[in-house]
This record gives sequence, C-alpha cells and structure tokens, in this order.
Amino acid sequence: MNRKSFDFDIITLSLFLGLLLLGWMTIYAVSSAGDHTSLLDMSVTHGKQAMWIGLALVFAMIILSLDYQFIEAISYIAYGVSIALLIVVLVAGREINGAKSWLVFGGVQFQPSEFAKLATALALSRYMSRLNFSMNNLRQLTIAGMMVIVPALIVIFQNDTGSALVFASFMLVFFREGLNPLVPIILLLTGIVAVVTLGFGKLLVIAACIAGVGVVSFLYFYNQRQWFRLLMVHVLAVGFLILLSVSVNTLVSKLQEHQQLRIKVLFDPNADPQGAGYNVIQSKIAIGSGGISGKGYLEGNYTKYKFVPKQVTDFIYCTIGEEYGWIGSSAVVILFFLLIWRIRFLAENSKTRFARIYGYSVLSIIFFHVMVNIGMTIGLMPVIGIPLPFFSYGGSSLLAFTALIFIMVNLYSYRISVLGSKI
Amino acid sequence: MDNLKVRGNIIIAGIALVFLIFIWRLFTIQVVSNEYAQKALNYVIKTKSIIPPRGNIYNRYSEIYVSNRPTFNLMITPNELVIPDTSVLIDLLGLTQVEIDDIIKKASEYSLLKESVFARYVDPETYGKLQERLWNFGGFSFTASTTRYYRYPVGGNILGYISEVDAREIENSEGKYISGDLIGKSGIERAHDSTLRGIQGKQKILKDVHNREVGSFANGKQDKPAIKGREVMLGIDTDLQALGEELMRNKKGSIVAIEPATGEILAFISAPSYDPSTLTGSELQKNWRILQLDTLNPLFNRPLMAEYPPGSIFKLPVALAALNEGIITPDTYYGCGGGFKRNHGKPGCRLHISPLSLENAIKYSCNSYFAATYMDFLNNTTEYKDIYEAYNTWYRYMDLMGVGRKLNVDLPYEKDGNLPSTNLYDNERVFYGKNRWSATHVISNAIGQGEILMTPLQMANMVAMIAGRGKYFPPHFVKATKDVNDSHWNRVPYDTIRTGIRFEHFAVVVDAMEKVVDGGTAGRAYIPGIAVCGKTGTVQNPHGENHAVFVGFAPKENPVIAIAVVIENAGGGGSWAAPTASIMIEKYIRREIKDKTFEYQRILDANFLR
Repeated sequence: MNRKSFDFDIITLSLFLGLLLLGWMTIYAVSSAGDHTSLLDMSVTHGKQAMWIGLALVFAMIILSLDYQFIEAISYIAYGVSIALLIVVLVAGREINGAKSWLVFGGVQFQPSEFAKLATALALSRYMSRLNFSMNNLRQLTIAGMMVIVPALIVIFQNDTGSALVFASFMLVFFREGLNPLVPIILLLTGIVAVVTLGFGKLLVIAACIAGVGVVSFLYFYNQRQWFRLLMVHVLAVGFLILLSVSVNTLVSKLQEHQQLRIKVLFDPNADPQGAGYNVIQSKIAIGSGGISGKGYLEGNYTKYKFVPKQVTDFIYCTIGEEYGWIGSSAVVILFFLLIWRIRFLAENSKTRFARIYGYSVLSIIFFHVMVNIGMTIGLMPVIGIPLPFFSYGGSSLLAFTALIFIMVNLYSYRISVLGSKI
Repeated sequence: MDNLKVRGNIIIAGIALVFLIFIWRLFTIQVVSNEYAQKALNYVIKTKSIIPPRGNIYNRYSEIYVSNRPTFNLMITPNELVIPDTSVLIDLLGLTQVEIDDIIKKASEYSLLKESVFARYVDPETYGKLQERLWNFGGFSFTASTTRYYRYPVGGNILGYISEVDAREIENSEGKYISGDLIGKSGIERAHDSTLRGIQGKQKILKDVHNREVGSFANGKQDKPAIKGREVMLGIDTDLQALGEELMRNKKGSIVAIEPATGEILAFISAPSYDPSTLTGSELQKNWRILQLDTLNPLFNRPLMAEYPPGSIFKLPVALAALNEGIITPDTYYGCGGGFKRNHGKPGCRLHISPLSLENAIKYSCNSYFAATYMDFLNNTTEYKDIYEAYNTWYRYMDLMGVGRKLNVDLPYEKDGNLPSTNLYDNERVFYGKNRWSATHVISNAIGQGEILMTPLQMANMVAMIAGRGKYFPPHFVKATKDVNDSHWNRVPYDTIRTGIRFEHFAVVVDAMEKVVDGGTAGRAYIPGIAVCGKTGTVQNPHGENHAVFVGFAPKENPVIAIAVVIENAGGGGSWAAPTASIMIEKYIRREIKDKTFEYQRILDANFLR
C-alpha cells in the first residue's frame, strides 16, 4: 500500500464518530431508565449497543486496511453472497415483528437485508463504472435496474417492506448518472398519488392531478410556443395520471389493512389512535414536549417511561426531540446533512467512476433512512420500520452503515495518496 | 459531463430542502405549539390526592374522645404475585383458601398491573407480623389508612360513624370526594364532616405507560401536603353520658342534658344504645345490619327523632305564656273537682286541694287549672279580637320557647315535633274547618295531650329556657374547634334567644317547680343539698304502659344543668323518670353519686322491656 497511514478524510470520520457517540448516549438515556446498571452491562440495551459499536470500529479498521482494488474486485462476489443469504433467510430465517428477515447464528441475530444494500451499492457501482456503460443503453439500464430490483423483491417476500423500500434510493444514483429525469419523477408521482389517494379519496386526487399537470406543462412549454405538443403532453399526462390513480387505488385496496392504516394515519393520526396512529401521536407528543432546548439529558420522562413504542429502535428520534429540544433535534438533522454533503464531496472528487457511483449510493441510502425515519416520527411520513443510522439500536444496521461509510473513506483515501494532498 | 455534475447539486439541494422541511416541522411542533408539551405532562403526571387524617373529637373537658388509629390495607398486584405459603395469609388474616383464590381472581379481572385491596383494616399488630412473614412474597404491599378509635365507648348516636365514600357520593360531590375517602355517614361525623375531614393534599407522581408509579415529579416541589381536619370539642360530658347509658339499660327512651348558660348538650342518651366502635373497621357492614334489624331499633336516635305528646311538662310553658299575657296571676285560683267542670269534666284530674293557686297547680299537676287558664286565654275578648288572634298569640309564645319546632341542632335527621297552627284546625278534612272550632275543641293542648308533639331534645331545651329565665341558646354539640397545632380553641358562636317573658313570671314557675321536687309529684328527684326544680309528665300511650317524663334543672339559682328524661312504658314520670334525672344531676354537680345510691341501684335493676 502506497499511502501514508491515517490519511483518511478527517471530516467524515469526525461526523461518523460524533453521530455514533450521540446515538449511544440516546440509547443509554432510554434504556437506563429506572435502574443503575453499569455502562457496559451486556444484559441491557445500551451495553449491547456498546459492544456493537466496538465491533463496528474493529470492522472499520479492517475495511480501511483493505486495498481499494480489492474492494472493487469482490463487489460481484459480495452481491452474489448477499442474494444467496437473502434466499436462505427466506427459507430458514427467523420471524421477528412480522418480518422473516433474520438469521440466527448461535445467540447472534443478523439481518442480511442490511448487507444487501451494501453489496448492491458495490456491485452497481462496479457495473455502472464500466467504460462502455451508458444510461441510454436500454440493455445496460435494465441490467442495472434488475441489480436493484432483485434484492428488493426478495426482501419484500420477507415481509420487510421498509427495508425493501430503501432500494428505491438507488434512483438518485441513476439520476446522477444520467437517467432520464421523467423516470424518477413519474415514480415519485406514483408514490405521492398512491399515498394521497388513500388520504383524500380518488376524485379529489384526479382533479388535483389534472390541475397540477396543466400548470406544470403550461409553464414548461409556454415559451416554446409548441401548442400542439403542449396539448398532446397534457392529454397524455392526464390520461396517465387517471390510469395511475385508478390502478393505484385498486392496488391500495388490496394492501393489507395495517398498511392502509399506516398511510391513512399520516393524514389523521386519530383515524386509528390505538393502533397505527398511536405511534405517531405518541412520538409527536414526545418530540413536541421537548420545546426549544429540551428537557435535558436523561430527563425525557415521556420516552423513558415507554409512552412511545419501539423507543430504542425505530422511534429513537423521539428521545432526541424530547431531551435536546428543537435545537438538538435540528442539530442532528444538520449533522446528517453535513455527513451526506461530505460524502457527496468525496464522491465528486474521487478519481474513479466506481468511487463516485458508490459515494452517491451511500449518501442516497443514508438520506432515505433519515428521511423516512425522522419523517415518520414527526408525522410527515407513513410509519415504515427502518432504522435511523447510528441511533437506532441494532447491530446489523450499525455494521452495515459503518461499512458503507468506511468503504467510501477508503476509496477516497486512494485519491489522497495519488494527489499527495487533501482537498 | 458538466450537465451531470449539476444533477449532483440538484440532489443535494433536494436533500437540503427535505431537511429544511423537517427543521421547520420540528419548529412548529416543538416551539410554536404548546399542545404537545401539555399533552405529555397530562400523560406522564398523575396527580394523586392524599387523604388527610380526620380531626379528633374531644369531650367538654378537652380530653380526647375520638381519635384515629392507623389501619393498613393489604394490596396485591396480580401479575407480580408470588405466594410461597398461603398458610401465612390464612393464619394472620383469618381467610380461607377459597376466599383467597376468590380475591385474587377478582383483582386479576380488575387489572393485572394495578393494585387491588386484598384485605382491609389490618390492625397495626397484624401488620407488623405480616411484614415479618411476607418477606419472600411478591406483589404484596400495604397502604395506610385510619379508622376511628373511641376512648369512651359511649355516644354512638351522637358521634355517628364513618365509612368509605360510595360511587354515588363521589359522583355527586363534584370532585370533593375521591375513592378511598372517608365520609361521616351519621351523627357529628356527618354534620361536621367538612370541618373534620381536612383538606386533601396533592402529590404529582410520574407514571409510565402502564400507569405504574415511577417517581415523584420535580422532587415534590409542586406537591401540596394534606392538612389534617380540625379538632372538634363537644359539650358532651363523657362520664355523664356513660352514666346515662348505664341507667337506661333495659329501657327504651332518652335523656338529654343541656348547660342552660350556653346551650351545650352535656349528655344525649338514646336507649338502647350501642358502642360506637361496633361501627368501625371490617365489621362495620355486618354490625350495622345487626343494629338495623334489632327490634328495639338502636339506630333510631330517640332524643332527636322520637316525637311524644309532652304531657304535663307542657303546663310550664302554658303557665308562662298566660302569666306574661296577664291571663292569670300567681294569685289566680281555679277550682278542680276531679276534672274540668266547664268542659263536662274533661280533662279529668286527680284528687287534691281545691281551689288552688298556680304554684299548687304546678306542684300537683292539676289538669283543670291549666284547662281553665287555656280557655280563659283563648276566650279573652278584651285582649284579642277573636280566638284566632288569641291562639296565634299563644302559638307565638310556644314557638319562642322552642316548643314543637326544629331547633336546628348540629346533628342530622332532627324531627320537628308538632305545634298545631290555626290552619290545622281550619282544615275540614282533618279537623273542624274555619271558624268552626272553639277553646273546648283544643283544650287538651293545655295539658300537652292534644296535637302537640315534642322530641326529648325540645323538652330539655324548654326546661333549659326556664332555667335561663327566658334566655337560652340553640342546643348544640360542638362548642369549639381548632387546628391541630393551635393552642387555643375557637369557640363556635351561638346567638342568644330571648323569649321576652318577664323575669318575675319565671320566679313563680321556678318556685313551683322546686315544690314539685320538694313534696310534689317528683319527690324521688330530691337531692339533699341541691335545689332541684322539675316537673313530671306522663305521655298517654294507647299501645301499652304510659311513658314516664321528667324535666328539671339544678341548682335553682345559677343552674348548671337542665335535663329531660323520657322512659317509655315506665308509667308515671315521678317513679322512674324523676329519680333517673336526679342521679344524672348529682353526678354532674358533685362528680359522684353520694345521696342517690339507692335510686341508682333501683333504676339499674328496672327493666321496662318486654
């Protein structure tokens, strides 16, 4: 290895460690309520998480010591292994909280879908960094798409919709690499229409779609004076949207009742205050009660006394909101943004296409997790059970995010060694 | 490729936008809105009311009469239950295995997480033993409560009893009472409940989502301690009360003694009586039912609720009214030939000297004399324009003297008695009709045998009024109250009531009452060295033996005790009621029974129950 030791991006490392520390402190605040066990007691949540953090740091060291070419070389193998593991889970996995997505080795539970994200990011980066790869080549685009869709589908079969949805974040990578913007826009619209249809009913949504498309296409084409094209696009778009909302509506009506409710409570948490709405009502109360500067560390009695369900895993952000207030919870959002911003910087300034595509994959996955998780706790997103990176309790997700970031740090350090200076 | 680099900026801008929306949203729910913070407080904090200890009750000598004794409720939390050995519970609490299973089953049905009562009213001694032996049990805890402790086992009818508020009382109280609160159900405990109960404390407690208490809020800085109820001093002389209840053994009836100078009730016996401690603790319900079903009706508060035609004692207020109106003078003589001649010999009378003066009429309780006085009163056309005016004048005197009307004593369920008004006689259906009655129709009022009804309390109050020579106070039990830390008692003020009857008329009547005891119908009430004034009466009882009545006071000058005794089915007032009253009087004035020992034994031995 031809580089100076510890020539890694300090900013990314600091942000990573900062988030990790904050995350563990928050888990401690929740799980230490009422008893006075030692900090590293392995029988309690915060003790176990400390163990996972230690393991993650060791894991990070190992990754940093790898040669970047080795990483690129094992991408497909990792992908193949992760697909195999996902299938094994499907057959021999253990069901926890309704999702059959866990493997159990000895006493350790392990969630292969977390690693599938990483493997997919690596494999996709390798495939898309081929010299002859082009987003306009339908065959190549299809292969790239399938690389994302296949693991996502298997995860859906594991009944872990949340983790499967994370694969949608690769859309950002495709967009960055030249995908026609209409594709993500249409997909985004489909999602919005599906959600809004459940909330407000079919007719209203169709009317809103027609009006929306009208305004947008008018603004877009007006100056070009292409009246015929304007009309055609409009008719097509409206027809498409009507078709979309009708089909979405039928699809949605086939959704399981609890899934429908999760979307409905997004608009009115009181639609199901004892069930799906309960989480949202309680988490908003917990966060809202934090005020500007919060109740103080370890003083978050609303989350401590278990008024918010899943408060160390999916709803860990409630404790941040309650104990650190608006200042603290905004700071956490900003920290995530800084991390994403820095990874994007690393990606754009990498010497290889592989590193850039991989960097965008990492930031997209992190962004998707943060958006869905925090959005869910403040009632802006449906209740989808995916972890908040570095905060939610759980070894698989922590190790996966650590690997995601440190591979990026490793790839970028290659540039440092080539150019001989940091940027 | 530059075009694609811009896409990277678009992505970052989009992400920034999403995060800005989050920060803005956080701002609205955390900073702008107060709703969530308020809701969090409501969910997390449970405000617990602390029930204050009830005030103690004292007797007239500032000795504690009723106090609190700690009891404990043994509570269970079903899902934490560990019972290594049921025999401990069976031995110490006197429960059977079946009962234990039943209690646990009911508690589990109510809530697995919340506490339910396993056993109520565990006394301190058993509590100590249980604490020792429950060390390896799980899910058991104690809550402290209090029960009343009676230093003197007397006056159950005065004190009443307390028990936990029922669901209906909680609902009607608009938040004043909470579950587990104690409330006075009768007697002083009920009438003075608001004084005795104290002020509830408030304690803010943090709870978890399962409603389990997990700690105090803000280190208890916002808590409000419970304030003990006020101490209440009664005018009751507990020794006198005990003597009265002893004397009334095997009898039905009442004794009411009042201090004329204050209106304080010294003794208030309802016979048969019961020990107030029977209506406490775990036996309350059972014992109450036993008392309720008792044919002698011990729960019937006779001094307050039993209404009798007063009989001859009523001649005293009739004489006073007539004297003050000038209908008679001390020197007015009427003849008596064994009956009231002007009304065909009705009412009848016994054999005595005739004609006779007012003094002798009282001394020998002459019916004819008072019938004549009453008739002259009602038929006096020089003073009054008609019988209505005359009757209403008389009525007003009786009302002023507290006869046949509620005295608003501080005890619940007081009965009115009855003082018939002209409206009653004007009512054709019941009586005669307007202008269709005359003095002869109502003549029995003169001797207390007509429509007039009085409670023993009214009788005692009437004689206290005479003892006070026309000045009296509303009879009452509570003389003073104080906070537990106060050194001085605050007297409860009562307004003097003045009858307006001139002092010299009382002198005549009181002299005559002295003669009643000293050689008259109440000779057995005589106490050497104490000038007892009194009047006997006999209540006609169509259902059996007549009821014996005596009212009196002593000493004659500056009287300290006025007393009324009613013994049902004991015949004439002179034989049984008068000596009973005199024993009470001697005891109260001398603090011992010296001269009345013979009568004391005689009364104790008497049994008028069949």
